[in-house]
Amino acid sequence: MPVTFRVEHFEGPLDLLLQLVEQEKLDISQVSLATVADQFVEYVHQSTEIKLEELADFLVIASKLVYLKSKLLLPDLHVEDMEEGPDLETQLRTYKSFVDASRALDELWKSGARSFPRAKPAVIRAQASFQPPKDFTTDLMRELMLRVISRLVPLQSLPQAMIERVVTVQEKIGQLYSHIREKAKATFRTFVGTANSKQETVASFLALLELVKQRFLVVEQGTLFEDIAIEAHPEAPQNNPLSESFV
Amino acid sequence: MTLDRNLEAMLFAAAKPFTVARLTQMLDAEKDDVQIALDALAERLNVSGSGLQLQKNGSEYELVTRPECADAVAKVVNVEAQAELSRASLEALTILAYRGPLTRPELEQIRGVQSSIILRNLLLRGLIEQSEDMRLGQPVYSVTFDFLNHLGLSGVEALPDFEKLRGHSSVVDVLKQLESTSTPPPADPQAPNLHV
Repeated sequence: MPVTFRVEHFEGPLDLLLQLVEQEKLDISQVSLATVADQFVEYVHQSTEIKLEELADFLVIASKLVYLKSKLLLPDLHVEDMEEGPDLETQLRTYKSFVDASRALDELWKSGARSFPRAKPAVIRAQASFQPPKDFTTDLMRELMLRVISRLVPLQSLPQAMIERVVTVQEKIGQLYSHIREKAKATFRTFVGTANSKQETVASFLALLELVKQRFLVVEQGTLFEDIAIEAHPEAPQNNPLSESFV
Repeated sequence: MTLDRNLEAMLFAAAKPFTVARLTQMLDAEKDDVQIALDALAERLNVSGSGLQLQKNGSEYELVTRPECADAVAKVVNVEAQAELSRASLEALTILAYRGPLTRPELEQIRGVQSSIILRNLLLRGLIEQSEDMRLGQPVYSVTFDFLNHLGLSGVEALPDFEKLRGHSSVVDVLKQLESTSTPPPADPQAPNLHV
């Protein structure tokens, strides 16, 4: 689905999501969130505005959106890990109520309404010297230092994991499309023949489905599990399939 | 009732905020009576057309000028120009004003994005403060008297829709979910002890 308008600026993933929902003139609901899921992913994919340290926050929301969309398509879907944590609809509603309140606060801030505390009476600054309270001991110092140190230790050390480099569906779309343009015809088996892993085969298959959906290719399969013949769609669009977003 | 008169005089003379507990101790009175007297003082200032109002932040009280008098007061005190707040700062301040004190993860749970830089900026500007009251092993943040003065508020309770937003069930839900998911897992007795 192409992005039809641009959100110019956003403060974090919930802000982006809220702006997308509001631009579609929708209320916040499971359905409206699923509706803008593609656009959200597209923004995360293309935006140069997202800071690296915030990217994870965007991906968390993107994965929740994709899950939500999948659930609407497959009502029986239930992934324990994804059901954990706050549900996105509630989270966005809460966020919105504070965004609305912040507008009122901003007006008040700009209105010039101010209070002043009484000015501190002028005092003659005493010569600076070390005057510890009476009950101050070296034991107390030690305790305070330990408290400072304990705050530096992260609450829960994060599990370390290696992220395996997996070929993306985007890459496979590119490969498959240029393969067909060169050879005019191919079969799925010859195309995946070079795949190094199961993930890569899956990515190839998803790429094939996407290109069929976008009417770049047509496929034919005689019987179940037989090899799939692939060729270019007679009325294939001229643009590049990679310029289209997909989830 | 002389207690509220004494409180008024003390807060005026001291020119700084005091907690109810500290006032109670200094006056050698009952805490409930002090609280009632403070409420009476706030009410009396409001209805008598005083140029002052009683300001409350957490359990602390201070006497400040009324926002309607801001222009007049500006003739006698130095007023720094009020720099605009960024959207992110406004968001974080609003959340802390309505729902504070909150820990950083709680604030981030509501905003959906990491907020340590925003918090640091607000701390530097003196609009929020960090306190040692730990919750879930984290310090908590709340708005300051400075923040209230910038807006001419007698307290966060004077913000529009305060009760509604503070008690908002979805806010409570979102924060509760954080509490249930962020509980550290119980220590594994089989795991090697690293703190030797």
